Amino acid sequence: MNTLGLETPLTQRLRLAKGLSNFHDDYFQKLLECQHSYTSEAFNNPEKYVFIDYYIPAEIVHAFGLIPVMSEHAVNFMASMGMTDELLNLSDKHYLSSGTCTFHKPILPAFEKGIFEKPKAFMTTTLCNEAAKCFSMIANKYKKNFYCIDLPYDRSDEALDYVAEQYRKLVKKMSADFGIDFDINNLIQVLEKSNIMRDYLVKGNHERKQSPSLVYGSNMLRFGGSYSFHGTDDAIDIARSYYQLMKKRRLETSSPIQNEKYRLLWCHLRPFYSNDFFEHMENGLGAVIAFEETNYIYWDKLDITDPFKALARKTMDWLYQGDVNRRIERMVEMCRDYDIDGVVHFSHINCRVLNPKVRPIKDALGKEKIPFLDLSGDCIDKRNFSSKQLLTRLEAFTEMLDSRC
Amino acid sequence: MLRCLPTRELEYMDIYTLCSYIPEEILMALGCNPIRIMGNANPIKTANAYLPSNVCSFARNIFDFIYERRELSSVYIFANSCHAMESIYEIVRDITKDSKVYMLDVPREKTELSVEYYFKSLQKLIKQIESETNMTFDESEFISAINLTNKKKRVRNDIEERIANCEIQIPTRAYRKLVESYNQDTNGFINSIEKLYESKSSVLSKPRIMLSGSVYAPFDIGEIIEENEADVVVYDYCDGIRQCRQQIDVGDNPIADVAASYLEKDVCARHNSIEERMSSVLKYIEIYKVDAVVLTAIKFCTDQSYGLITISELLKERGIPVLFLDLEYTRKCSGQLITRIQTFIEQIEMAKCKTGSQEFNNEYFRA
Repeated sequence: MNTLGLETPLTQRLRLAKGLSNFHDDYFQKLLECQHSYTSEAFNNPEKYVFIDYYIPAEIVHAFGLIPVMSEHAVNFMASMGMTDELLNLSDKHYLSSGTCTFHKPILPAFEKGIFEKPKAFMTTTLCNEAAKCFSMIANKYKKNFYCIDLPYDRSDEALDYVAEQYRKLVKKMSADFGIDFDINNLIQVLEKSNIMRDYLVKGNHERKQSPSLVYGSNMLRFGGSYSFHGTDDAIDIARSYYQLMKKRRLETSSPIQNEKYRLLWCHLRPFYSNDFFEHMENGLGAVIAFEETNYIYWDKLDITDPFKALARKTMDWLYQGDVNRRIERMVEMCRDYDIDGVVHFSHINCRVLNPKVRPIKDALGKEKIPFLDLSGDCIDKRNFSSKQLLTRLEAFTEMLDSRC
Repeated sequence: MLRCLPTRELEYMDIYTLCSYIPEEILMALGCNPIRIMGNANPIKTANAYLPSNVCSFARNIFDFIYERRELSSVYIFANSCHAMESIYEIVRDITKDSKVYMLDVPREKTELSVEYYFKSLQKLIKQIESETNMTFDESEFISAINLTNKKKRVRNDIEERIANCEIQIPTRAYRKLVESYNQDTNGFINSIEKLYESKSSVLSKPRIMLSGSVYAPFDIGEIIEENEADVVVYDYCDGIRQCRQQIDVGDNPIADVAASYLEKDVCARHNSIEERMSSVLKYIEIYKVDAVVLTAIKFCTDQSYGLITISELLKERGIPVLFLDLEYTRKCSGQLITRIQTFIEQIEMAKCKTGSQEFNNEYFRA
């Protein structure tokens, strides 16, 4: 069907999303446009498309001229369009246990129903073991290639070499599987573009240290979709637009925020389906998300003289990878940089990577006298989200912040 | 031997390990007594305050075990088995006062590259332990330890071979004791073999069941199967058949040989490749002449649950009856589970009657 150029339910909604979105900033509209065009191209050319997870650097896919579609983003987009309810119900027939993360639960039914076209390959890391297992299962089912970068817990030089060497072997394998000669210069070029994009993002984030905030953080929690374009001209364009808008707003002191009483750091993702939680939180309570952990530029400039190590470093530098103390240090740094009043951790139900580490974070931030609130809910399945209950907790949290003043 | 007292005066004598990929031979060469923590299946207590409820009950049970000992001097060695274990490691290193807590990186691949990295991880672990405790790695003891564990594995493999060839059948309770002594008392284990050979012989007309999962099945699940006129012939778990199949061939670099041998083991659910896991399950089915498979997963262990989806589909395609159980880490099966197991075995018996065969014939399920 898609090889004839027809739309799938997903690409159709991606096209419509641009008009439907109430987030009209230029860079976000560009992001939506890219998501539509890349996904459409991928679904129309399955032989050139790789299904990736959030943690694999998309640069490796772009270096081959292939098209990545990021699973977490595709699923969160479907959730925001109300497409996941049926898929979540369907997933029960595959005996996926009730403890399965809802970012992964709808993927198999989405392939079965033709919402996702079947890619040439699946690519993931072990940062999220569940993504690795889910991709492995689906790749096996459809007899597709499965590539997985095994990430050690350690961050030593040996660990870095181990990951870099895996990337080196991966390109050889991809080259053979896709029948494309790998050119290291293409990778270097992609990394250079990624570095340009990174500079804009860093500068844009720097502008956001301003108070009142220059953008609603709840909207910025949807910005993670841009990860799949890292290394492309489009990503540079999106990042440049983001920086220019933030700079303009700072210079013109034209913040869209109407009521900023508290500045929050939001950790992890957000509920993506339609709900009134953030409207009440940011406009009603004045608890504005001043910065989001997911938009923190966690990786250093990529070293183009050693491209495989650069990819390895970028993968291993994820704050969610390895020792939780590294993540805590960055959180404290973000709190300082963005003049944060309190940290909210949204614990996505059944996330094995982050939820078990909440207690050490809470204890460590407590020692730093940084107020911390852990809110539990589901990013994808609205049945596991109670807006009113969470708002009550948030109100109590803001009262506590008041009492500290 | 595994349970012997060290010959040197040491501050720490017992080393607690949390994964079957942590080589006991290395710990024995450090003069220690490696003990695998498997928890006790008691109701969860303190872990609920530290870990979210969707961390599997096995991991939370292990956390409770360590928490109760937090004031004591111990050495704990974790592996990056799963996200829960990594988190428990991070909490344990904060809450234990006088203990030493280590993390061993175990790759999830079977490649030359991963063996090389694992070798480096083992070297690093040895150095860390030596520098932070008064233990020293003794190379001659290391070779002795490898020889001893090789012998232990050979003895156990001999038993497994006899079970596979239908020469003997070991009741579940006796098998569990055998595993316990294998893990804790090498001499006792070897001595107990004679008694096992006196066990009842296998009756081929009974369905031969494979229990398969990752770390654990409820303690009484095998007994329930036996009470319902079927035999459990293979335990595909961390402390089951996977533990003893791989001999260590010692060459010029024994630590590298241990690394290679451990990564060469039949894989568990943490491994990246589902194909490897599937092929070992199929291999056991063939070797042990298995008629039906009971797949068990601990609730909230997604490492297992995704693999089990694929494996159960594969078994169904091949007409091998399969029962999938999503379990809590408990001592006993619930009434509901018992009913499911009974029904499963009844179905297998019905198939046997329908095909009219003296021996079990799984053609009935190949629909």
